[in-house]
Amino acid sequence: MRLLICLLVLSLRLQAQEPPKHTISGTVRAKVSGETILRATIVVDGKNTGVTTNDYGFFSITLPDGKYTLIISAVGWETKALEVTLHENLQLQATMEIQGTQLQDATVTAQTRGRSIRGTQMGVEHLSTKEIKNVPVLFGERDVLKTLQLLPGVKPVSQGTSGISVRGGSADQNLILLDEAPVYNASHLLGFFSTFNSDAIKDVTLYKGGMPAQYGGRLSSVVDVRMNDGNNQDFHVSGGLGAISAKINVEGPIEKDRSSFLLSARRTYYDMFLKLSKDSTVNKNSLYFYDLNAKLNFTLGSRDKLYLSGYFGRDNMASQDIFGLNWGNATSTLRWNHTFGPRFFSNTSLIYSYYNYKLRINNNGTNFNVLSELRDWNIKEELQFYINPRNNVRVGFNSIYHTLNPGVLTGGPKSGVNDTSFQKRYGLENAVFAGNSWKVSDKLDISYGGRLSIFSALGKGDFYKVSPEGVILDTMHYNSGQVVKTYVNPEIRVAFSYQLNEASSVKVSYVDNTQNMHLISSTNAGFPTDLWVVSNNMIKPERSHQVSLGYYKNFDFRENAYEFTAETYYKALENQIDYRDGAQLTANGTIETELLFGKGRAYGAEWLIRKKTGRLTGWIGYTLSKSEKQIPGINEDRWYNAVQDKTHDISVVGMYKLNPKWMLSANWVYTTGNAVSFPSGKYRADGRTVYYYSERNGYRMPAYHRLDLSATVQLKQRKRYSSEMAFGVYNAYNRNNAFIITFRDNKTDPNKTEAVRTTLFGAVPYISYNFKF
Amino acid sequence: MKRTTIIAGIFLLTSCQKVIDLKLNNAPKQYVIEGNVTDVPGPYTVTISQTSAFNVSYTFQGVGGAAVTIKDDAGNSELLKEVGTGVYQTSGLAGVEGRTYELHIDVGGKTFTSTSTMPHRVNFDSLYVRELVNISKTVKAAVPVFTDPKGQGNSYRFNQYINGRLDKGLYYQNDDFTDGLTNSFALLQPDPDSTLHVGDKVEVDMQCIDKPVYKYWFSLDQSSNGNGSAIPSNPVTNIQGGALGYFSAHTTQRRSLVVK
Repeated sequence: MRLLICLLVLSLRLQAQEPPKHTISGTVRAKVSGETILRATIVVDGKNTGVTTNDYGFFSITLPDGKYTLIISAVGWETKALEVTLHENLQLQATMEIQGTQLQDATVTAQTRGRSIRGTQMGVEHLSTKEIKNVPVLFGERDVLKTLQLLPGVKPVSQGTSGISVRGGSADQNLILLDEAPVYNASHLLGFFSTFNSDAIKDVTLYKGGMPAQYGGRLSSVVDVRMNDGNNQDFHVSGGLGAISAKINVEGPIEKDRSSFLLSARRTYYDMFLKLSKDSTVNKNSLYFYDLNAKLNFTLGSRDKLYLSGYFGRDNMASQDIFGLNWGNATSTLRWNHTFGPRFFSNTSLIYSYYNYKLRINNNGTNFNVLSELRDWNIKEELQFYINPRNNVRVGFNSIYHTLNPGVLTGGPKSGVNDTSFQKRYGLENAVFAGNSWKVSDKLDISYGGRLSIFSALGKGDFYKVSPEGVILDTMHYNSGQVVKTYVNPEIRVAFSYQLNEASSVKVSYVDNTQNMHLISSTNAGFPTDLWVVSNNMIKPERSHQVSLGYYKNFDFRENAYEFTAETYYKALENQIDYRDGAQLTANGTIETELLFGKGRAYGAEWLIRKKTGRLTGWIGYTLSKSEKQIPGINEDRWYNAVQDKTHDISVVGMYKLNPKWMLSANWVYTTGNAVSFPSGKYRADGRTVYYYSERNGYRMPAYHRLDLSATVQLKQRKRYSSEMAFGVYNAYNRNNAFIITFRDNKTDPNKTEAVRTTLFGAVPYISYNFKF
Repeated sequence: MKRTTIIAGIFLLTSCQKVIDLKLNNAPKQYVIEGNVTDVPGPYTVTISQTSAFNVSYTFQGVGGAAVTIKDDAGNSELLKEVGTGVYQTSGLAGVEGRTYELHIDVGGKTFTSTSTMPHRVNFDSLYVRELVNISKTVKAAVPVFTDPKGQGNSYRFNQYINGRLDKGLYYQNDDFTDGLTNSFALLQPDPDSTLHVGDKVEVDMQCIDKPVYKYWFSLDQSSNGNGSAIPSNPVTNIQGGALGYFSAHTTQRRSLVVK
């Protein structure tokens, strides 16, 4: 903390007296659609100074009076130069055009072709929907979370699924935000697809480390997904028919240049095939999911902008009228951007997140329903103050009120069960944060700041004092709103960047994180019925401390631009949660008695080399890593591999532009198998085979590898109408990757036991058609 | 329903299963103890054996020469007689509901102990067969009829024999959500060997078990039966001293029928 204060004093002291200054501020937008462009860089030509646009496309730069050329650039957009004469504050609405589709046009400036060499941010990955578009995926269903898995340090939690493990963390340790609203279960169809319809998504940023102070609440990563605002120039309809789903996207201006709307919908039709079956037990089954994304935005005068966005998605699985499980998220965000003068940007967000699942059983005399839900009310205020070209300060706060309803069981008369409801749990999660990005010199940048996380578990309800053996020693009753326990956790966020030369830099960062929402999963794979719990008197906030070091270089080779990144990290984790052997995790009102707490550590090194220009683009990533836990009561108190521990992880992604019509792409992944517990012996109990386990996660699943191929062809373009076809094969060489290995008695000789490998996907071809007008 | 069953069901067009060769370690052998005391006349049996390696054919490897004692809280005590290697039996002890039984074993320089309380008997009224849907198929399954006494804490286990063959499915229940109700839950498992057909002779044993024994069968079913539905681990045993297995004092009743 003292370090932070010293840095603050230092950075302000360095503001020497200079000639009169004025500010250029404004937004950067796409000319064709009016969509704001995030992270565009605005560089003052001839001076080593510049800014990037924020999450709303806003920028502000203060300079001494004079004549300047501003160079505006962003990945995928034509670089633009603007002449300005500064003698008063200027408002600038810059528009950019999409980079030409001809290959020869690939003239790229130093700013657009690499990740920023300058700037302290590290451990970050950006994906735009354009990049997501060309990567082949399962059933051709474009998926941001699956594309992220191809980057170093990011792995699927369970194969084929969209749940991610970042730098050895578990799936619930990712803060997944959709227009700032936390999404609690970001998956469809039991994890095989993510909730993000890529047609509605503008941009995805993943922070693996060095999170800026405005983000907090999860240990491993932040996945910040931003929806498109909607075209404020023209009406457009786009859509697609894929192997499993159909999509439609409508957008347009409400009032040209000032306001727009976006509506995007997707539904799977896998279940239509079930309907074709003549078997009445199959054709009455249903299995589908759908998504709706909607957004409205309004410009109110020159200083204010209002955004209203919403998401609603639902999965439905049913076996006739007998069994039904449906689940889904709903989020909505109301945001108000306001500029208090040219150097002061404010955003206020009111956010609502909701998740629930409903289980229905109605099987000839056994009938009941289970409802479980989670609700957040969330307010976030963030102020950005562009003090001078060297200092950019952000301060703000965030308050979230969590309500968790673990389960309500309703049966009714003759149902065979008693109506039961478990206690609701409440939590108030507050945070205040402040940070400054300070350009110390031409070579050195420092970001420093902090976040204070203040969490209170609130009544009403009974809370338990539980012994280390899991026995309830005492029950304490709290009234509505009464504070059960408050935890205060300071989080330090510092990062240094030193530019070695024009094209290379080194960066170091340190970040603390605190997590108060915990997912108790028996599978570690994100099943819709997994239970979220909030910190309380027994469940302490999880903490992580991560230090990372990185080297970044941009270089040219045979007239093509490349970028090289190497990062290493070490992460120490406290208050990690696991559960006792044989724990009852579902329908348990005293879950605290089943939990065990300990520590974890994760470390590794990540390498990425990326070819940014030319007909062939893509990257090769390699990660060497380790993730372990030590929890008293598990594995005889010794360290053991976390399930998501994967030693080696390689991904190769290539996209080849054959000609203006055809785009070919391929990716290949290889990872060490998950750490698992396999039996080391067997015995019998009352005539049944029981497997004997000698240690936790001491074995490995077989190594996983897979090649995916795809080709996209642009079909004949008419005046306004354009369309494309995509073909592909998932798992092209039909590798039988093990999804799970189970053990059973041999059918013919029950004294023998056998291991059975289940493979979910062999080679799966797909075809899809997309259009736009 | 098990997660893996559901997932494999969804992707049934693309998924496949194959028996594979897996190199598994052979951990040092462990003691396995199984002991039962019931409310029907004995003899009651305690077996002591050892784990076998995964890759070999299972044979009962009894451990002989142990001193095995069972006593109850009414002052009765008996040293069991070894009737076969690793198989120990009582001769005079009579199991009575409500009594607590203590097992004491000295073997190979180790001591294992356990206690189990035989719950009061809940009457097994009858048995009937019902048609149910089990993963897209309509199947027949037996429903044991009994009325749970008011007041939580009752636990039950069932063994089903189809044409004299033990159904290896595990059936257990407690009254967390069914306190005071007449049971309507069927003995239903996805395995074809657990499915009933017209003409089958079905015998069902109903046991009233105590909570630690319930925990043993629950945890065995969750994480030790190899189906991969939860993180695997050994069942939670009620035996102290580091052995696998269980010691169960329970009531037992049998009902049977022929499937029509």
